[in-house]
Amino acid sequence: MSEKNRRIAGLGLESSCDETSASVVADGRKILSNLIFSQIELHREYFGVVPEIASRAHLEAINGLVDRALREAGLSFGELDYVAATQRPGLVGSLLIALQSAKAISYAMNIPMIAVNHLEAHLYAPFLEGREPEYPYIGLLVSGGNTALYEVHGCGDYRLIGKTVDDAVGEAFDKVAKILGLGYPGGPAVERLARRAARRERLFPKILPDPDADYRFSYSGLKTAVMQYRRAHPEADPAEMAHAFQERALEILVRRVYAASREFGIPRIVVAGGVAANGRLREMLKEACSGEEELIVASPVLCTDNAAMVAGIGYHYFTRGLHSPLDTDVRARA
Amino acid sequence: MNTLVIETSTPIELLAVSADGRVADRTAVSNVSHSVTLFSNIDAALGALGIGIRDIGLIGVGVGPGSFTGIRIAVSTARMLAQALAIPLAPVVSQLFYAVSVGASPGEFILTAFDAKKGRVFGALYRAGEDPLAPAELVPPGDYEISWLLEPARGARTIAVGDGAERYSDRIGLALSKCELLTGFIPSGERACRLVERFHAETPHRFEDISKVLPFYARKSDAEVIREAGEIKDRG
Repeated sequence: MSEKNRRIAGLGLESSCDETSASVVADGRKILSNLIFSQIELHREYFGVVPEIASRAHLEAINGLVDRALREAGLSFGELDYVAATQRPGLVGSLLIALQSAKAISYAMNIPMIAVNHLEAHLYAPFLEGREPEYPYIGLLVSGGNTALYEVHGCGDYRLIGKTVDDAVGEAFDKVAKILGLGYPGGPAVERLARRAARRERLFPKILPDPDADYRFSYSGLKTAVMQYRRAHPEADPAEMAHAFQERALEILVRRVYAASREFGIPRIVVAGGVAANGRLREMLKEACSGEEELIVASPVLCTDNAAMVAGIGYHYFTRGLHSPLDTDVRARA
Repeated sequence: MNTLVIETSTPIELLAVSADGRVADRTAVSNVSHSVTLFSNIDAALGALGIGIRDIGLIGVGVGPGSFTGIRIAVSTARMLAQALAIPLAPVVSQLFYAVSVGASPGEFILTAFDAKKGRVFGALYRAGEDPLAPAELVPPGDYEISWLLEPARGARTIAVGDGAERYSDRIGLALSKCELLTGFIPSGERACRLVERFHAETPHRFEDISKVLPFYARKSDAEVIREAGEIKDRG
């Protein structure tokens, strides 16, 4: 019996920001291929993602990635059961590339197209590593574009508990990296520098006061505090500043996710998104775990934007017959 | 060979299918994103001819210059259709679809101009010949101030089309005394199919590698322009 006869094969496509990705996933669980083209080098000199440059690069990359993803998986277009693509949220011009490509495959091969919420796909990423999806859970999504907390009861069944009122946490890392002259992308650069801090003092105030009256996040004030401190103390050690910023930026995430777990009586916690690859965040999450919670964090490679998570969550929509029409348009917001 | 043509670099969605000498032309102005309407129009055109997408043997796509997003909708769709169906894909400069559609007499000039904002147009200037599918290119398609396209046409009988021509009709009128502006002009799906089929018949090997079918933007992104201006200033 061939792989195809035993499995449901889905092709995932992702182009919501600055990574183009194509992936083939079997039965929503087993990654057969996961190709990612990162545009970091294209955007580095701008200290952030330039939407038009990103859109152009996605278009140039996507067909080759699809070809390679299918070859690595040992499948042809004709052996796919469905195609899934990120539809929201993200950069509109970028999202269009994966979504139009998915529609074309769907139409040409007469298979269903699944339009996927990028945030839901991120939260699904840990379940591509051998673990069966289990609900309910508290989902913390942390990336360059999003910082949000969800109560998740099933595929497509989630409630927003709280989100950032201004910058996303990953965006704050990028901006602080620029202030400290570290370049782009800021997350890994700030984390590396923070490890070298000799003194580990609390240079910046807490983001929002205790007790946690709600589940908001906010990063613009912290970013401003870093900028003002830099101006007032030009001799200050950037490593100490990076450390102090990182601690404040991450502690609110840890505080909020465990507070939500306790308040809603949901002990299972899933943390996903690019910032979930931050080693210090992973440490802090583990340190704060009382033992009653079950902490699930995707491996770093699946924290960044990838199409495996898109194909993975798409499988659950496919098997329920929740297909998307081909007049589906992209959306900047979730 | 059955042919599908997609061109969405302006608010007009040029969508046509030809099969066995018959053409289904769904070309019209679209008031919503082409990404919303494109597949229903493809489906309707194929349905009108009683064929399916797998009966298509050649795709032609408008690559611009025009709306960046519009170009990408057509090109990303056409590239992936061609890849999945394993059929050739022919890139065509968007202005040419319009130029071959106006029905100009031999010797007449054809001005195509799409509004490119910032006081500019994505346009080209052609001279019609005996072959309606092969006008001579006088000013190549690109990103221009309208006056660049008008200067070579002074004194010539000219037909102008496109929303850029309509926007700058007063300047065209002042510069070209023998110009006819075709307002609300819709290009011909039948002509577009014939043009793509002609290209493919003449050089079939050109259209097998879809990775070479890329948008013709004719303009850098704003971020690149600003960065380069800064670099020049720094050097100065």
